[in-house]
Amino acid sequence: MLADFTKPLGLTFRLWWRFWPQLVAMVLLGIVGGDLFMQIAARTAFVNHMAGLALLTLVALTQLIVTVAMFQMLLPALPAIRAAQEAARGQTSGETGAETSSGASRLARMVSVALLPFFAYYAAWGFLGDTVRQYSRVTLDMAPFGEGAGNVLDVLDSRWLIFSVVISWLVRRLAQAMQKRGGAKSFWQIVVVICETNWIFVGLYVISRWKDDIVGWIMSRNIFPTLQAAAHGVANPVSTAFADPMVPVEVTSIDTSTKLIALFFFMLLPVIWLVMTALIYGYDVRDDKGLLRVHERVERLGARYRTIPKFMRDFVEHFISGYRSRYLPIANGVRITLSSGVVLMLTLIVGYRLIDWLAAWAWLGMTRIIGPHDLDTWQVLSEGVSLLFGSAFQDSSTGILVEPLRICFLAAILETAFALPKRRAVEIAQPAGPAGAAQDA
Amino acid sequence: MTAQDLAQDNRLGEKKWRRRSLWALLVLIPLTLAVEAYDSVKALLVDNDLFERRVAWGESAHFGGSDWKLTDLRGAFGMKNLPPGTVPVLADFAVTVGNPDLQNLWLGCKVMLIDAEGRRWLPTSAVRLNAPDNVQTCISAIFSGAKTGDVLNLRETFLVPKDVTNTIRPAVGVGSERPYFLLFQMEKD
Repeated sequence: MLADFTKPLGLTFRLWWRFWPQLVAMVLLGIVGGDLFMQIAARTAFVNHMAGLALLTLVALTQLIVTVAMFQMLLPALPAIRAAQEAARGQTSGETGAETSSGASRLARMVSVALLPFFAYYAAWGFLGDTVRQYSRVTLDMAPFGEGAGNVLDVLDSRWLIFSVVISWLVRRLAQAMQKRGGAKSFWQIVVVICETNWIFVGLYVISRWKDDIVGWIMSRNIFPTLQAAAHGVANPVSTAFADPMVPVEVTSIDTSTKLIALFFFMLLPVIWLVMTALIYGYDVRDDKGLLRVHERVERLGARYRTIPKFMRDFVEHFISGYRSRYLPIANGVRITLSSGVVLMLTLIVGYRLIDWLAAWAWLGMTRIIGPHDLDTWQVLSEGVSLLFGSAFQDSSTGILVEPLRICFLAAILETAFALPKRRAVEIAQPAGPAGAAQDA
Repeated sequence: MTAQDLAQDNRLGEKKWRRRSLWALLVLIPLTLAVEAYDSVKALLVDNDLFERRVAWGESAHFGGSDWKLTDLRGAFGMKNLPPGTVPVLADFAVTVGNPDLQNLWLGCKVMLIDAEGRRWLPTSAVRLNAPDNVQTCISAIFSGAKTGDVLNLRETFLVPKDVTNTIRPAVGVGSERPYFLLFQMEKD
């Protein structure tokens, strides 16, 4: 049990020691690239607001590519994950023929697998809003008071957004057709990824804006207070049985339901990142057999599906096969994560939050060491401090000392999960059989 | 190729990339710092008086399109109703206008006193002393409509601790010359 706790920590530092120059260089490339794309997007926005917004997706895409590339760098030092990948690849190559792919197209494929979950996380944790805010700030800097270009964000409210999504969908279709025809495969794969990023980015942002309207409408219906009162009554049955006396705000306590919700989201972020790690490493694990094994009933469902006449199955597969092969790794990632054991999950949550906590304190400690200066000098110094530790006060800022450690920690947790004796035993007990027909999108 | 050879190859490749990355860091760290801090450094240089240009006593210096000369720096001792231990100081300049576009060249004009420790004092309005009509402050001179060749008499009033009166030196900074500023030397320097 103690080994479950100490093993990932030891591995984290070994990984970091072995790969730190590559990881730090990658983080730096990400920062410079993100900044560059932000400038390009802002300058393009002056020519065309829509094009500026479309280029903005490259900022988020840069972050994703850097993260994926960093995980990929660690792979040589993760024998258990590699063994699992080899096993999965062996199974698929048995049916569909050996797959030879270049490094670029492999990276593009991994990015496209991680795209939707990454953006969902990106939007849910407010980074999407941060990026858009940063973009509007940069354009405002270039044209104070919106002179000349007007408000670059006005396209977000216009119907033209649908037009932009349609264009990227058409380009995606074209790229897919070109990819099938052969020649410069990895290039077209990258085009597909960029188009998908664009509509996911735009779509998620629009949804997050419409969400406010919908929530506002629901709030105005007077449903929510009733539900809230009911939930409150369930969580604190005794305290609500009496009329609340007047309590000064300093001595009020946070109620249980709020605490539980806060705790849930506190624990959710590390778990989401572990799932993302599992996705990035598990892109080859397209076999749905493992997933169906979860429950007898699910397995029976799978068997029943296979009894459907082949022409009907083909008809259904025509629509879902692309998505099934792509999002199967997500389901597999969740499964792998959640079956890793309680100690490992606790290590993940505590360790992940500890890295964040230490980074924040290092940031604060550094500011104390540097001491007081006038504002303009501090603006310059803060850039250096934030480059080292990241900053909670800046939008999506990553520190070169913190980000590599975080990536190493996540990889170490997953490696430990894959190397668990329990999982090994399951894999040996159930030798590979014929896998479900899963093909690449 | 055996699995052992492959592992050996991978290890060599990794070492190569480690070495390359270490070299790349030498370029990437300064580059990232430069890219990230560019705006802040620009603001620091444009908005602050950082580097002094010394002007010897009795000499004039070309600054912000005009010629600046310190004519007098004296303390107004014996005034009442002042905070204890303080003394008003008057700094007088004669400025011969060269380029008359003062609204752009003198933007953010700042006259200050700097002591031996580098502490700075800005003009005060807490002390009012009678002055002749033709005496202006730096800011009011910007809107005086002065033409090329005009000589402007500028005076700024300060309130400083008594013990620094021996070491303070007047200094002038204007927007068009920052981060440089003029530091006027006294006769005894």
